[in-house]
Amino acid sequence: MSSVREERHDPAAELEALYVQRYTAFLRMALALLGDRERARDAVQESFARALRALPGFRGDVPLEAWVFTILTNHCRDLRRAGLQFTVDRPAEAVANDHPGEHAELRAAVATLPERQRLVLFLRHYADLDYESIGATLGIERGTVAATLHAAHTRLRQMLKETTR
Amino acid sequence: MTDLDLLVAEALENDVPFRRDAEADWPDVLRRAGVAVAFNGHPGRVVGASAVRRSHRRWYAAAATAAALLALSFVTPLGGAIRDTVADFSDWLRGTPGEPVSGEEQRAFDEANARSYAAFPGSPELRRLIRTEIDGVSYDLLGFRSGNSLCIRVVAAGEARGSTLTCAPVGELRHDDTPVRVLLADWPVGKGDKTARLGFETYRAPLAQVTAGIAADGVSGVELVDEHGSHRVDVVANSFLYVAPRPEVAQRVTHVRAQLADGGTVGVPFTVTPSGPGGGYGGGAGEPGGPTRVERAVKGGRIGWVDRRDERGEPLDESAREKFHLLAEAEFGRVLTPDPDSSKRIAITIGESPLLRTDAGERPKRPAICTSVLSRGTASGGCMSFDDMFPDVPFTFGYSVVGAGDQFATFAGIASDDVARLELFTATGNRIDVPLRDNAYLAEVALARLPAKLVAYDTEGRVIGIRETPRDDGPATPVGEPILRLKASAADGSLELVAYRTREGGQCWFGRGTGTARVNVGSCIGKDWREAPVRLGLLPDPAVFVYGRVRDEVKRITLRYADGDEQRIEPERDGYVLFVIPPEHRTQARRLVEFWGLAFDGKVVARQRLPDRG
Repeated sequence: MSSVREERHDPAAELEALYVQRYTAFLRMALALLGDRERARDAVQESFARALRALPGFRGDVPLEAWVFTILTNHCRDLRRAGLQFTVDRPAEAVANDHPGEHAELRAAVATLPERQRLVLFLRHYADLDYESIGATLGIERGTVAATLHAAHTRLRQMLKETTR
Repeated sequence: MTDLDLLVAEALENDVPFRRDAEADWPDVLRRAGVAVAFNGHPGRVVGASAVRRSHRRWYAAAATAAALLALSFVTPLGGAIRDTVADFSDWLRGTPGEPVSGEEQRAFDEANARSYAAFPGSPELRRLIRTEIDGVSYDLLGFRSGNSLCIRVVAAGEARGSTLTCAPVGELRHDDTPVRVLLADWPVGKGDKTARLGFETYRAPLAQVTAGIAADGVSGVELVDEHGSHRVDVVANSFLYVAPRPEVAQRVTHVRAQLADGGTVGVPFTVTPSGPGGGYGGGAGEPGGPTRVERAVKGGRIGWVDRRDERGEPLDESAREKFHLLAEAEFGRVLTPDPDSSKRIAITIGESPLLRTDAGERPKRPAICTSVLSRGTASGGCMSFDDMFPDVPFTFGYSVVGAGDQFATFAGIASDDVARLELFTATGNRIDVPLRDNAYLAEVALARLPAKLVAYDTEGRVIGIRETPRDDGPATPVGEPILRLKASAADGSLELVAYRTREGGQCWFGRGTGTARVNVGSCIGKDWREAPVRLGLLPDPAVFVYGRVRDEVKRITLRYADGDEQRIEPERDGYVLFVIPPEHRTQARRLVEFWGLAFDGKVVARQRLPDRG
């Protein structure tokens, strides 16, 4: 006699596990895009809430994490385009470390990169996503991710050369 | 990895360094998604995934159910509104509804805000929403977002002048999907010509009454219903403004509906503003959920930093003492901010209480600790003995409503060191984390969600205190001619009662006394009289008159005197009572000490012993 064990798929539980395990990565991504810790935290919370509400429509054709990163990046983009008018009763948290002067020129150069190049860079560094997942997040091919990352580095190298002349 | 890769990585790391103390808050995600939270865990505590699965499996079912409900709603005419409105108060959340006001208006607002105690945090950008003019009065609806508050300000100018400001907490938008929120209901402007006599007083209606609020995208108009019928106003700049010109005395908006762009309508819950001398706010149907049993009784708690007189929060400065007379005589005081995103503050003071009095009308000799909610020029609060704090539950409990027409109640007070967390459960099924900081708590809840229950937990998640808001029968508007008049006279005074039916199906009565019984009293009872079947009062002291009303099943009332004598009286029609106590029983030694309400078969329906004031 054989027994069949029913595998239970629990997408809400998976979403919560993702939140718990990868919260810092999501927060860093939002902070990189918005520049303010409270707004970043609010954006992460809102993005996961949207993901939870939209779970019935999630088809699973991309990794869950990539899907939520998509929601987050779109939400942050909307906030920035709207010229967010939040008023918060605390100064924006300084994100520089003990050496705020280090790499200032490079950091400024990163800020001037085209949006897609910045997003790829941030998803690679802050979210630690592989090319496949970055592609799924941004809706582009894996090869395009590699090319975009290469283009970002080339641009940064060029900008650094210009500033050191 | 190239040298440039390393440099880029270092630069990015400098910009957004990794931190292990990130404040994850899954319960907040659930609340934003509209899923009720009911597990014992501290917000912000990061737990392992395996622990989460073990503890919260039932919430996955709730999340799936909520998600399924949302999915189902997509195919109904209402579905589009629900799907959109959960997120589409977006202009309000961004603080950008309507258009910016002029530079001059913004400066005037900023200056007034800066002068105000408990000012709105940051520099809110004032937005112009709607302007209308009726009967020589212009009405400007303005709005702004400040922290976690969405605020509207109505300014009337011309033949009548006035302004009011009211706010809704952003969290309120997440409690349900209603696409319209009423923030102000029947705010009175000016003095009208219409009058009406109710009881022994003449009331004058205002020149106009204003009802206003916010609306999500997809709402084309708002329909408001009062005694004169249905009135429709357009939604403009995600807001609505209804001005009822020359209303009748006690005229009220009783129903509000949102009209959607696709032609559907949605009922909008709100609280009818109480009118005249009777009635209360009522509230949502049902009872609040949450715990019903205290798991660990805690009484007589302390607040360590107050005992030590530590300097928590901000100092109680001279401007606060001058502005709020309740604080003027405090020996020690601090101003706390339980919720940094709210403009409201809580002052804790120690000293002689301006509110406490002994039975002899004197101030107690022992110091009191008082809590005052400070809100833009108003202060309200209460006191208790500093030596015997928290005698029954480890927190003070109460709520206040500021301003005519406001739709929100502010729950605020202090909690002992035993309390680690507070939650508010509402009759509309919401479970609200209450901000608690430096032992002070504050939460704003729509009146339409009452009654509510405040629950305190200790550090181990055990319930250590429960308090509920009292039930009131809701609005009670006397209408028509009196249905009953009673009058009784004694040697040195008289008392007259007059009763009316109310629009809501209940009754109100008013009393006026003369001589030693000089007083104006009154009370209203709703259509469904559930509690306290015997509601009697005594005037003066020692009592000469017994007055009030008893429920239908009470057919006799027995009065028992201190000397053992008893007397039976029968209520008048509809249960009204007005009785003169015999002269021999108006002395201390032979005074009235108890009364019983009896049914037709002699069964005791209610019994009340009177306090001994000897």
